[in-house]
Amino acid sequence: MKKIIFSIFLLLFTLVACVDDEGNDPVLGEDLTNISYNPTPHELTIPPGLPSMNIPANNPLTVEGIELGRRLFYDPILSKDSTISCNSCHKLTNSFNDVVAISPGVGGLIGNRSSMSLINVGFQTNGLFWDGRSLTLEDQALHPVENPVEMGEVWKDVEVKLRRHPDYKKRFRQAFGIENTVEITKELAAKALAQFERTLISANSRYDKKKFQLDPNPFLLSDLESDGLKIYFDDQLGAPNDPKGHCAHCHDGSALFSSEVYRNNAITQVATLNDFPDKGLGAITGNLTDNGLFKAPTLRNIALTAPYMHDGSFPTLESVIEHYNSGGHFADNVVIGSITQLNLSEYDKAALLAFLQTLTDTSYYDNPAFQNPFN
Amino acid sequence: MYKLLFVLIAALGIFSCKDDDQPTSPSTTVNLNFKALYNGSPLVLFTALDYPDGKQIRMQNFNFFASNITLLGEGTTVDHKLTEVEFFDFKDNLDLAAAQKSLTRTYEKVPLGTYKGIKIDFGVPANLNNADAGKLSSSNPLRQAFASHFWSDWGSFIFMKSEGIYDLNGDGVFNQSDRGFEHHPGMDVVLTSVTKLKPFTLDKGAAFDLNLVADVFKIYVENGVALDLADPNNKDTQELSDIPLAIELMSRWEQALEF
Repeated sequence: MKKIIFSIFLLLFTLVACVDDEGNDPVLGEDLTNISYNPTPHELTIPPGLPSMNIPANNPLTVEGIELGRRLFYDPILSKDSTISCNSCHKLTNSFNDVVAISPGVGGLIGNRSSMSLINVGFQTNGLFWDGRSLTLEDQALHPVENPVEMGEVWKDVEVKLRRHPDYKKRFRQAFGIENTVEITKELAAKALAQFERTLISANSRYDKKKFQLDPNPFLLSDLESDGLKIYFDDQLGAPNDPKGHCAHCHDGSALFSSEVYRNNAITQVATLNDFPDKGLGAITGNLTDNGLFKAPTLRNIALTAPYMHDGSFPTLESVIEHYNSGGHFADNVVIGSITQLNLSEYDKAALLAFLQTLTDTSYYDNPAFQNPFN
Repeated sequence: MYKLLFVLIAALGIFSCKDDDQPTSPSTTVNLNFKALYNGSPLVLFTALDYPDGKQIRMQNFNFFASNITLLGEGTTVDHKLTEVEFFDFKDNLDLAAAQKSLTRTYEKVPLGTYKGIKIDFGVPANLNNADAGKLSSSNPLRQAFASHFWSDWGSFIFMKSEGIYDLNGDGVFNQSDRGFEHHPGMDVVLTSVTKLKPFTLDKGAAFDLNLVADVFKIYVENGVALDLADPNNKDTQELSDIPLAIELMSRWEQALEF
């Protein structure tokens, strides 16, 4: 009997403790209209060469929305045990990627895919994730929270945490004009994250400076790098039977350095198309010929994002080049017009590597708008 | 003076309403249905297809831009441009049922009348064939296909992607020992204009179906002579030296397009 009375007392105490001095429970509903709502539109500056960005009409960029998104991005509050944030796998200095093959999630759990760079992710139009299962950033942002090997949380609980948080409830009001804490939802959190992700633009590499004449220095690319560029784009070096890397077929997309195509890049040896341990796009579409297809990621800042491929199985860029030079493992859905034995010489491989390194842009490191607001 | 001003303003208001009162020209809806074939049969990707030299090929991708799609007027009917540019991608032709379907684009308010045929430019018009196309709205086909089809090194879109495997050793098995081909013609010089004359009339009533066919076989075979896919020089069209091949393949749209 004493136990029951104690339990009832504890429950009542907990409930009362959640109610603020004015009698409001942010979870049940707290009026926010005393906080001003005056969002400031944010105009993106698109660097030369990059395409337009599709910004949904129902989620225009605002200074307040982007800032809220930045805070959510860096805050482990989204995870079950408050140990994992988006930033855990998408680090500023690694092109918003990380440096492990498979990033550990809550409790050290390991999934089966490497994280992807978020640089210039706002320009993507042909699906997100390695398997393209999300069509918008607003949808993409919903997934990691409830993935058991990533954040392991449920959105219902995240919403409760955000509604109770004195700073977040204010910021949701300022970003989206909600009038009550109960309006703080996963959809709004995802919208804010999407807004922040759309600002993650990088296009100030040596390649950009040369290609778009941002720098008058005529020696921006060395001879080795220039030869690597030609191999990358299958241009002729001048000699007969000159080398072709066939890289740009999947990694051009103008200045995006991703054609946003889904390809079997011949890294997994299988007897039939049914045998891929990770079916990639095929698991989404159900098409047999989509099995083992993964999205070609951007090669911008690729030197900062080792290890490589969807499973993180290649530790270095040199090993990636060796793989493509070998032609990899044939399967019925490998486009062997470009994924084929390349017969690159040691010089060609060195040139290609040197060119890939010209795609590095670290200037955005210093942009305070990209940095962790909690540091 | 004020009365005069009032009359003038009232008159302006009346005349500005005049257009709205006029009946609009009679029009209808046109569905442009594009189907891909291989030698007269629906093109099914990833299946063995007979090539004229006795060997086989297997297509893996087939898509293209069609631009300035224009209905050619006859008599009192004037030419009518349906659209500036469209992108047709037959990536879903993975089985016969899917391959029997057409890709359809619908155009509203097409003037009624008698037309003598259709004109299509295969490729991207020169005025749109540059990186600025990437700045177009997200609904524009050029923006939608920008990442996959704009080849920045050329400063041009790839007008057509025809990719597959040629059974080089003729063993009936497709694998790495065979010849992959990747024909990606682009640049203004390969833009190909095709006119097909076949009269039709747009009447009031149900939408009109304009059924077009792209026969890939006829991109590769002309007058019974097939492109030699065993020749490594014919495996792709990436370099400036490949422009003659790119022009040759694109020129075959004249016979590959059926209406």
